[in-house]
Amino acid sequence: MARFVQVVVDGIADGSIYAALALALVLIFRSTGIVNFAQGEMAMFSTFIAWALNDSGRPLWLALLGAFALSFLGGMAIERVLIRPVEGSRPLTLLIVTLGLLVLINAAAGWIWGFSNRGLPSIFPSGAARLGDVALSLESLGIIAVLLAVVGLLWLLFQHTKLGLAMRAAAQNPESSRLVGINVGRLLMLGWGLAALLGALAGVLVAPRLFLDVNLMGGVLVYAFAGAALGGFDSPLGAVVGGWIIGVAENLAGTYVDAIGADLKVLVPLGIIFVVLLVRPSGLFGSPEVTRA
Amino acid sequence: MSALLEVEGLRASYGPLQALHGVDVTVDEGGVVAILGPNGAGKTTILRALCGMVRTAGRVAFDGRSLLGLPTERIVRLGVAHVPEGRGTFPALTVEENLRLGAYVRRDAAAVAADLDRWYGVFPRLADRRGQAAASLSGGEQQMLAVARALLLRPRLLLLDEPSLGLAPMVTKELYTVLGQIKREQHTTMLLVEQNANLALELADHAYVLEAGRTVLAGPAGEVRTDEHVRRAYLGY
Repeated sequence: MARFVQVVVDGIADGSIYAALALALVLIFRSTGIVNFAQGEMAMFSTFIAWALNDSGRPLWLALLGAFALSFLGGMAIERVLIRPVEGSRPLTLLIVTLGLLVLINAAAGWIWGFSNRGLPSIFPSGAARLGDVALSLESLGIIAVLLAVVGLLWLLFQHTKLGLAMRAAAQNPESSRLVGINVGRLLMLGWGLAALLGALAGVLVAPRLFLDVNLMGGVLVYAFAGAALGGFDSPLGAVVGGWIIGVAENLAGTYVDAIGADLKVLVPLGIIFVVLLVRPSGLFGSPEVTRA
Repeated sequence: MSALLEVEGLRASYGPLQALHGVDVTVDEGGVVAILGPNGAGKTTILRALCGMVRTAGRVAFDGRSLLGLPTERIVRLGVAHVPEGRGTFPALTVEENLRLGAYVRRDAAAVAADLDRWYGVFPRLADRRGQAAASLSGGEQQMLAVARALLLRPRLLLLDEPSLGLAPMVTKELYTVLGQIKREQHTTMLLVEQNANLALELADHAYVLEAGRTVLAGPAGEVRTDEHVRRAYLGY
C-alpha cells in the first residue's frame, strides 16, 4: 500500500510536468488554432539557458528567473517574427512551420551547447517526507506545489483581470475583439510568451530527473500531447487533469505491469491518445467542436 | 449641426471583387443616418470600411481626422462603436463579461460601473442574465447585448448593422423603441444599415439608398420615404 501511494504521488509529480507543457500547448491552440510541435524544443532551449546561466556562476534561482524572462521574450519574438506572417493559413502550412521550428531549435541548441549530457540541479532538497511507512520525495511534492501555484496564478489572470478577459475574448472571436478596441496581435504575442514560460518551467522541473541534452523534451512532449488530447485540446483544466492521469497511468503501468516496465512506459500515452481519438475526440473537458470565428 | 463623419468617393474591395464604387455619406453630430438597399448592395461593406476591416480607398473623415489605413482597434479608441451583422457577441463569456469588454478601452472604472448599471436598467433582461453565458441568450437578447456592449464605449458614433436581422417583429419593435430612446436622451450619433426600411426611416433623420455599390438617392428621411422608387422597392406599398 505504501508503495502504491508513493507511485501515485510520483505519477502526479511527473504528470504536473506534463501538465505544464500541455497547458502551453492548450494556451496556443485556443488562441491561434495552432498545434505547436516546437513547444518541447522551446522548453529544452530554455532549460539550456538556465543551465548555462547557472554553469557560469550565477545562483540557481537567478539562473531560473533569467531563463524564464528570456523564454517569455523569446516566445513573443517567435510569434511576431515566424507565426504572424502565416497566421490563418491552412493547417498543413502551420504544421510545417512549427515542425520546422522544432528542427531549427534542436539544431541550434546542439550547435551552441553540444550534444553531451549536462546536469541541471534541482531547486528542491533531496530526501523524503515520511508519513507512517509512506515516504514521499520532497522533489515530487515540490513539483506538485509549483504546478498548483501556476494553475492558481493562471486562473487569477484569466478570470479576474481585464487582460485575461481580453485574452479569452481574443481567443474566441478575434474580429469582435478588435471591434471593442483589443489589439489582438499583441495578445497573441503575449500568449506565446506565456506558453514559452510554461514550457521553460516544465523543462527546469524535468531536467534534474533526467539528463539535460538536446532530446530532453522529446518524451515529455509526447506525454504532454497525450495529456492535452485526453483533457481536451481547448481546455486548460483538461490539460492539467489529463497530464496527471497520464503521469499516474505511466507510473502505475511501469511499476505493476511487468511486461511494460521502464522501457515500454511510453506506450501508455500513445495508447491513451489512440483510445481518446477513437472514443471521445474532443477529450474529457474539451468542446465537441472547436470553431474559430 | 456640424458633420461628425464625412465619407467621399468610398471604394472598397474584397480581393478582386469591388463592392463599393464611390459612396458619399455625411453624418451630422447627434444625427441618425440610415442606409437602405437590397442584399448585396454594399451596405455592410460601408460599415466594415469605416472600421478598417476591408481594403478601402477614398476619403473618410471622422471629426476631421482620416480613418483610412488605421487598424480597427485604433478606430474604436477614437470613439467608433460597431454592432456587427450577426451581433458578434462572445458566446462562451458571460453577459457581464461581454459588456465589460465593450468598455475595454476606457480607463474610468467608476463611470464604467455606473454605465453598466444604467444599461442594465434599460435592458432588464440582460441584468437578469448577467452571470449566464451569452450563448444561452435568445436572438433578441443577444442583439440587445450587442447594442449595450457598443454603448459601453460611450461612442461618439454608433454603427449598427442590420439590427433587426432574424428577430421577431415584436422584438424588433422593442429594440427600435430603445434606439429611439437612446437617440433622444443620449444624442448618440448613429449610422444605421437596415433592410427594414420602415423602421429605419422612422428613426433616422437622413437616409441614403444604395444599389450595387453606388448611392442612388439621398435626402431627409421624410423625403426618402415618399420617393416613388423607394416606396415600391423597399416599403412595399
